[in-house]
Amino acid sequence: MENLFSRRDFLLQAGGAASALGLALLTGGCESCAEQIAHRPIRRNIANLAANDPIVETYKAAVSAMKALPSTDPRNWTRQASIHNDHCPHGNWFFLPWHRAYLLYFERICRKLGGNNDFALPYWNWTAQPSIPPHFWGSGNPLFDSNRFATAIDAVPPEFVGQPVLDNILSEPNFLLFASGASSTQRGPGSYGQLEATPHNNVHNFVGGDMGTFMSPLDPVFWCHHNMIDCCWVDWNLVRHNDNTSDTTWTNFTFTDFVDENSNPVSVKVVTTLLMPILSYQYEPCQADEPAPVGLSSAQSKALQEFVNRGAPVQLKFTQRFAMQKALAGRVGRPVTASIKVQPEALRMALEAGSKQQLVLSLGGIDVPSKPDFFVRAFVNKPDVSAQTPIEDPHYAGSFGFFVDKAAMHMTEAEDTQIGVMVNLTPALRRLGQGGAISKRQTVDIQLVAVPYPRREAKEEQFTLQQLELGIMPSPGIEKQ
Amino acid sequence: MRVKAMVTVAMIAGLLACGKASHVTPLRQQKGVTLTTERPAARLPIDLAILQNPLPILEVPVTQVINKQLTPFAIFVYLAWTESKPGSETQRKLLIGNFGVFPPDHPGRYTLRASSAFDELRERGVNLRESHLELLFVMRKVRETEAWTPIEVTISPVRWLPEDQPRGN
Repeated sequence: MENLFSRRDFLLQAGGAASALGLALLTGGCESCAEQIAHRPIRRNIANLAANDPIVETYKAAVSAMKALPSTDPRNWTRQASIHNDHCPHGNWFFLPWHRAYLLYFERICRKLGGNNDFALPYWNWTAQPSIPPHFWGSGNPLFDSNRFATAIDAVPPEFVGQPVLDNILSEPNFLLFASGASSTQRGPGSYGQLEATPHNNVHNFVGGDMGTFMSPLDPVFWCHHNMIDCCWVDWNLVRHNDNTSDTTWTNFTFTDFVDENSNPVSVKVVTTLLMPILSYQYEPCQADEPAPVGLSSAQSKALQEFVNRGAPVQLKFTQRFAMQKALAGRVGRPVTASIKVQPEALRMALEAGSKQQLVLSLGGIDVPSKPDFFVRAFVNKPDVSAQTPIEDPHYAGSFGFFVDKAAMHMTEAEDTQIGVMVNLTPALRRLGQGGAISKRQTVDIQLVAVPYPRREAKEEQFTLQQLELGIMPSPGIEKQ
Repeated sequence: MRVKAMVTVAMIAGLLACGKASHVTPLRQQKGVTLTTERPAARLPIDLAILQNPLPILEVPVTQVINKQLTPFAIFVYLAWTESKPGSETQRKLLIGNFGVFPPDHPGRYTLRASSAFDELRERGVNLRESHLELLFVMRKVRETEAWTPIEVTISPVRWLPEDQPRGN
């Protein structure tokens, strides 16, 4: 039978920055990722939120908390605005990704300081509501900025934010014209694209005061304005299927200006910002003809798939493989065990090689269940395992979920899909191998346990797989082709 | 049919395109214009060489802005021409696009898609080479209720670019 790893030498197509996260998912680093992605927070149009909506209340509480922080804390309100003042790119192609990352970390700070884990930054849809929303007015309101020049009844002129203007901008197919032009440095000269030059710049200037300067994040409306800009970019990419540039000067550029909710500095690659609206948040539609968010849309799944297919190919280099060709079937409440014959000496040497060697379990020919309301945990040498066995158990190795969109793959519902996944067994085997317990055995037993997602019924669901293989590879074992 | 797609699970998205090379040389107009609050509009004839085969993208370099009060303004860019009929001449204009300057005293380079306006002109039956086409720049206030303060905007010679070259330099 065909060796599982020799099928294209198990070519794993993953994009640069994506590969780390991809492997984390594949090797059990995030067992509920699919669930989290499907239920990622929805950034809502603030016009649809009452003044006392928990989202608005959280935003107010977070702004107050940030203003109350000492200036030594990088989450302090003025310190956050200074990040923009000192580092924001404008008039070049780093404008959109930099502000996307800036918003994401700000949102996380709000979530923590506002005490609401469900918080998602709302956006100001100036096309539908060209006056500054009422949520941002009223003395004593933390969202009010007394420096504004615009009044509550002024409206951004339709020449800048009207629907025909937005339609025109969003129908621009050229990334450099839509999103601003090339530059080799973060604040280097480029050119203003239409999204930045027209609605972005003019709304800043229309509001005026702090908003008319690079200290504009001092006005809380800044964040909701830029959220709308980001929503337009998401619409352009994922709804209208326009492509960003593939220029590596852009994709590989790293921003180092932000701090997370715990005040830790973070650095973000541009290519990582492309994943944010797919993995970390989603939008209530900001364009009239956009569908409402429901989990992961087929367009987003398609984008996900395309990214994988277009990314820089990497190859896993295994030096030794132990295969087991046997069909297995597991179902919720009924774990399944596979015994893989190994050479104990090879296993011992790999385990004693410290961080230089990794042992990876590859599962092939897994039929995707029709209703994947569960994920699968993998354990090593744990015959009494159950769905209740905690992941803190030393035998726990990792998990995988089923994350396939048939529509995105141009498949009919009736067609079966098979997937392959990998689980990194190294940590579990090292834990269990202390005292030579592993290296004396002729087999490594793998237990696979189907676990329903929270609040899902998956009583009758089952999964089947065709092949298992335990491979040894040098760390990191991934080579760019 | 059973599809054996070896799909890696829960992977990552991205939206990267393959760049297309173009060997068309950008064309630069000979002259620039200056807009002031006293003279907020200016015209710039489009060189005949450009009208032979108009390139799709117009790059407008705003090289100097004097705006001490930071009064917000926007620049509207039009294609303008004279429509001649027996016994009358009518000034016409068609919007290419507009841009704001943020912060309102920062120079910058702005790119606008001009091809749509040229297409519309052709649809209207306007002969590009015989109609004395001009670029019309108009400076306008962003907040209509606000009074003008002295502003001077220098626009250096514009460039006409092929599809893939709205770059920095």
